[in-house]
Amino acid sequence: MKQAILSLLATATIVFAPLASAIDFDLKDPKGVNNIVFLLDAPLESINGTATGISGNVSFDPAAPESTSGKLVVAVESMSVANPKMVEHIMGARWMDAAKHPEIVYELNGLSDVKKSGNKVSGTANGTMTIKGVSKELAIPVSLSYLEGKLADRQRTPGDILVIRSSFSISRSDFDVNAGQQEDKVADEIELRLSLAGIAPKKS
Amino acid sequence: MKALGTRIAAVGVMLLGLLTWIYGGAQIGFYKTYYSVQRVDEITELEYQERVEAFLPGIETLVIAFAAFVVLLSASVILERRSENA
Repeated sequence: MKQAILSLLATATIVFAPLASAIDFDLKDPKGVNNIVFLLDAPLESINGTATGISGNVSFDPAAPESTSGKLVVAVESMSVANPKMVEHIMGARWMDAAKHPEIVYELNGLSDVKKSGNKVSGTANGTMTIKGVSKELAIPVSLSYLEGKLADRQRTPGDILVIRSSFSISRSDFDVNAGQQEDKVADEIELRLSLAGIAPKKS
Repeated sequence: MKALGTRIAAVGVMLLGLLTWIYGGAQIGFYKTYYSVQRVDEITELEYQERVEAFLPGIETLVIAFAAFVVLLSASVILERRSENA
């Protein structure tokens, strides 16, 4: 009986050990630095803007980065461009329909093609992107920098920071965002540049 | 005399529109209510944009100035014909 309990404990240790060392990073940055830049280059007009209403979390294990998972949530209302009329259009039902679909969500399931170099990890993030109620599997290039103990330097709180960078393009027609319409003024291809910092304060 | 004054005003409005547009950065797009300044977070080295509130006239400033120019120029022609007939 004693031996059975011991072997059960040993198995549990082996199975759950990787989970135990994963660190949960909160993507709601109190410094307000986190941002996503969106760029659209149509023949008649170039649009560039930012989204700053970012929340969610990333579970990252420095020893096993391929098991990284998490959820990135972007508030549609936080998308802004410098022309207020254009913002009104973006929020409208034909484009992002912010009233019905207030969030853009990316569910991260794991990383593949992982390359490690010091505290930096690069690879392909595999997950599901949901925009305007349409979900698509999306593999995006991503680089992570694990800054152990650096939260103290930034916010005077002991803890770690995970910096996430990515640059990729999506097609608005794939997500039914006024698909096939006004492509001379609003490009179908949207370039996205993610600059995110997740924070993990140490629990005392 | 009134016609000449209206023509000078037409050219003045067009010039004012053009100069305002150039002063605002000669943007091809529509007007903007802010511009962004690039910043870098010291610890994370992430780039982010800081918003600076400002009115930047867009291409519609030129369109309005041109429309005013055409209206004033037409008015000057009408005034000139009236003075000739009087």
